[in-house]
Amino acid sequence: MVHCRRWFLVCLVIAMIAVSATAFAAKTEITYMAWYNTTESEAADIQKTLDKFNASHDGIHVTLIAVSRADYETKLNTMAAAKQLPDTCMMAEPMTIRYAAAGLLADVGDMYKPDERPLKSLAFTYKGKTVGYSCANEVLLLYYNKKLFDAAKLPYPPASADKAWTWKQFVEVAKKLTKDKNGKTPNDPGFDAKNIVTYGADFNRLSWMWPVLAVSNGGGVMSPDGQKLLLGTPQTVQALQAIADLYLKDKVAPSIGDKNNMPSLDVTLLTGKVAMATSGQWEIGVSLKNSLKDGLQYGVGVLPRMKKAVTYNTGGPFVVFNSSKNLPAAKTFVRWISDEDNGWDLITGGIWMPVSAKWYASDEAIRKWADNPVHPPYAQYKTAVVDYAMNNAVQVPWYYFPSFDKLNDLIDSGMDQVWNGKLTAKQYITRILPRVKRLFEENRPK
Amino acid sequence: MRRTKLQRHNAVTAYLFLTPAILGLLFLTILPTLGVIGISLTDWSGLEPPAFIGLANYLEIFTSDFYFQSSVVATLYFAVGAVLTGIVYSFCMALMLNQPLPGRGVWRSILFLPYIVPVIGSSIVWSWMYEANFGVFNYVLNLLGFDKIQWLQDERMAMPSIILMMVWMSGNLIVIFLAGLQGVPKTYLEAVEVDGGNFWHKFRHVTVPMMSPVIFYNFLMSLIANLQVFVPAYAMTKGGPSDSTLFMVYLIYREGFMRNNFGHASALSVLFFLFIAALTAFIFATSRFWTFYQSE
Repeated sequence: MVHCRRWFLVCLVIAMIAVSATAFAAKTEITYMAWYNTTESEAADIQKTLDKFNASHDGIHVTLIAVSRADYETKLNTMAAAKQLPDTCMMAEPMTIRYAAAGLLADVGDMYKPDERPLKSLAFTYKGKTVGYSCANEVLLLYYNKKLFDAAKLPYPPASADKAWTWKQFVEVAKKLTKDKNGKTPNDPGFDAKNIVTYGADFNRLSWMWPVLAVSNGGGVMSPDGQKLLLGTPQTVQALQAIADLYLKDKVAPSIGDKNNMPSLDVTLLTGKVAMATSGQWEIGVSLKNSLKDGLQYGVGVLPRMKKAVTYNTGGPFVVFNSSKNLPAAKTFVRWISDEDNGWDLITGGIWMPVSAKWYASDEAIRKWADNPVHPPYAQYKTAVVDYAMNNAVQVPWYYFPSFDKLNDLIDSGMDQVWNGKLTAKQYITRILPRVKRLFEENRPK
Repeated sequence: MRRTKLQRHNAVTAYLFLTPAILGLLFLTILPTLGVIGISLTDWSGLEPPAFIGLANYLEIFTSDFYFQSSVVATLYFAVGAVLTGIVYSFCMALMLNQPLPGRGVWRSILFLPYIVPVIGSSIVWSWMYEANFGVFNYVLNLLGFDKIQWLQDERMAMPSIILMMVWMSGNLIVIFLAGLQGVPKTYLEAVEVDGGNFWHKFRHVTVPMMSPVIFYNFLMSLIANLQVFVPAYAMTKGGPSDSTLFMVYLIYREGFMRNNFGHASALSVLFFLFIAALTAFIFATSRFWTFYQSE
């Protein structure tokens, strides 16, 4: 009898081990690579999100590979060369289509149910296939310091695309807001352009941002299908020169050197260094909210236009690699992490806008994420940001053009000469155009 | 001639001791170098399998590389600028520290210290000091009534600013010069004094000739090191503004690891390697015309 009981216990233990081993073996292991910007504590926050996923999914376990943002491209490229890619990752926008062209990214067009599908404008596509959706919806906007407008008795910039300022109106207002150390504006005699205390306008001259004005003028870097180079068109040259002239002729913007040394947007607005500045929607959560406690009163409006009211939309995508041995699990994870419920703090905190169409479908849905103290007043935010993003946004070319970063490098390599007035926009573009054309043709999707 | 047992035993022992060094040389230097030469003959993005294209990468560098020319100019500008100013500065400091100064040990330590700070750390700290609005340099200029300078944002100023930082870091050169100066025979200097010579005569006719092998060594080593400069471009300027600090090694890094042009980057590496080797050989070949050895 004792002998039997002992055998029974041994069998029970073996059975339990077998069952738990089977359960353990059934967990599909995948890896997810993401960047942290400044501190490794960000990596801990990402890990918390993954912990939530791991706790709620019995069959899948995700391991995080956290990499400093500064080294991210290098790390990913090295992993690709060594054929050691993770299953999924966050990807910098300019790399995405290059990876797609090399056949490394999985088609994610089938990943979402119809009611979960992200906005079409957030799809990275190559040869008709969707290889990733932006993790957030971001657009370029015009921010301004309300107090400076009030002091100058000027109306705030328009908050809806149909009322967008023309470039001329924008410059006129910028001139009225620009003040030298004696309180004079560029319209006054004796204005001291070397000692400007408040710059009226800073139209962002980042290499991928400035072309939005060219798009508004009917030009841009390339056509939206990536087939035609538009850099050399008169419309693009005119827009580029107009932005350069904000500093060179109109005396309302900082030099590019001064601009590069300016602190974050909230501080430049709060201190009255700049009255109006263009940048992305993310600034609300990343920067502007930090100075609310110090008394920053800012507003948000739409970009000025040359012809049509246009903004750029962007956002780095989540991607799934074809090399993954667990594609379904990897897609399950990406679908989960793309779900707004799992990035809710980033959305209500003003850094991200949702990606799924359902969050834009009704006023009620929009209010859920946008009507809070971090965001600007809802009525203004709704028209200046949400409606603008839905109706007037066009994609930055990295959504469809391979190696847009190489093209960007080339266009930007001597752009300081335009910003500093050593060359006119026409002279500079004419000079670089043959090389840009060749690079464009080498990379154009065929 | 047959080796004795002891000689064989010694040979085996020697080879055993040499093995780690030989393996290191083979796997960490020779094979990677051959690998780079091999990759330079391919079109390889790192994302797809490499395709053999012969010398096309080399041809492309000389005919259609957008950045090669400005990179060569930036690299040579930096190397020559940093080496010459570094040698002059270090030599002057060494001459000063060779005098019976009060607190000489402290001064020696202070001037050597920057050398032991990692370049990346120095680069970050100096980029703060160069910051146009809040940096210490512009603060001082402002106190003195001068306009602020765009140290790292102005394409004319970025390179001199980096050179200044690298000169500040040349404490190793000072130590080597100092050691050399202490080896200059005092009898020669006294002989010049007896003949009525002043400081300049001693410096020109005794110190410099006697120090020429040390100057040569410092010149060669810093030239090779400065040609391969990378960190300041990576940490301070990202090659800008307007490619004015696009050093060759930074270009190689950017092309390979950030822009997926491993074949092109490897070809640049091979050419750069050959250039440094040729330059070193040239300097060695001509060194006898401008160095003096006592034994000669």
